[in-house]
Amino acid sequence: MAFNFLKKKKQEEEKLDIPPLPKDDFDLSLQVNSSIPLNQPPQGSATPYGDLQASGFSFKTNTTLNTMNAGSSTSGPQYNIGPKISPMETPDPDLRPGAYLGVEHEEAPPLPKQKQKTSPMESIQGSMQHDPFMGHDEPVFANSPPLPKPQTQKKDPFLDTMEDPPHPNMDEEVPKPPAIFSEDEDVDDESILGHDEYKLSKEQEKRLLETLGREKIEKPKLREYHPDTPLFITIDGYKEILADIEHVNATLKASEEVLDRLNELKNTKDKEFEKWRSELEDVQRKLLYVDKVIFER
Amino acid sequence: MYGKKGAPIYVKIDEYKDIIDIIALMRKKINEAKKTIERINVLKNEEDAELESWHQGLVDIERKVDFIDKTLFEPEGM
Repeated sequence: MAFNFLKKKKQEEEKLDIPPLPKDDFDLSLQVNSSIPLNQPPQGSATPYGDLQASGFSFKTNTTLNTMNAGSSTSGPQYNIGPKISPMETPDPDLRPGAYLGVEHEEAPPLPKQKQKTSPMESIQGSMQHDPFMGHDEPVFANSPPLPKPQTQKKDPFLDTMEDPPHPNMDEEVPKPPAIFSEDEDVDDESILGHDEYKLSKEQEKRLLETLGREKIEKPKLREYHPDTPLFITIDGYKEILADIEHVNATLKASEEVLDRLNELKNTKDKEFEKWRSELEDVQRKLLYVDKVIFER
Repeated sequence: MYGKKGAPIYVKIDEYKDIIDIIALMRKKINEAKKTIERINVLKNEEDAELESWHQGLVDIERKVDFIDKTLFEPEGM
């Protein structure tokens, strides 16, 4: 029943000699609704479907173009029955979509002009200025109010006398712990590890191993000595060794003389101490005699 | 010292191992001598302190003996 008026509409259009439109342009939707009572047709509307309205049908035109999603906000079946023409642009009032269905569309007022919105970045384009302190370009806002001047605080004499703490120098590297054994140093094993002074306890040895990152203390290697093969040194080193041995001998002789002199002094000192002790005993005896003579009368 | 062509001249060492041992022993003795000298120095400082105390005691005794001598042999108002 709902398609009978479409057939009639088509016949009316043929009478008006409206050129046929391509099928793709039919997007005017129709929604069947009973919200408009048919017994109160809009006045002055020259609808060609007055007989349908009189028969008890009510129609509501959905004049939204199909550029919108027809299924998003409408309920019920929709039918595309009209060309994709804006109702306001239709020259003939009878050809307006609402006119087909007996609903008169009022001409919508023109939209108010809106200010063209610009993005924040577009508004500051072309007003960038190089900031020498920041080292890069900074936007310049022409209409922005001037920045308030920083308030100058009163100088505190106590704070002025205080000095800033020293700034830690982060460039300094953390000093490395002193090397226990230098690889370049030719150290004799007996002089280091064999000496009583350098004997390490188990804890010290453990800490030393942790410091060195080794599992075992490796004794410094001596120059390889093979009894069968001769060993040579340069004559320069030999002469230096001879001179050092002479110097050591002279120092040892001087040390012996010093020890003899110290021994003589020690003997003399012992004699003097003995003499002092005997005199002290004599003084003590005489003092006891004087005390007895004076206080025991 | 050097040969005609500048090559170094070497001296043969027969008892290298013994020399190394002797040098190690000498180092050990030198360290012991250093410790002995340190102990003698400590004893010397203690001895100097005792001698100074003894000297102070003698000065004190001399002053008291002088007072006794003055009191006994220079009577007042007899």
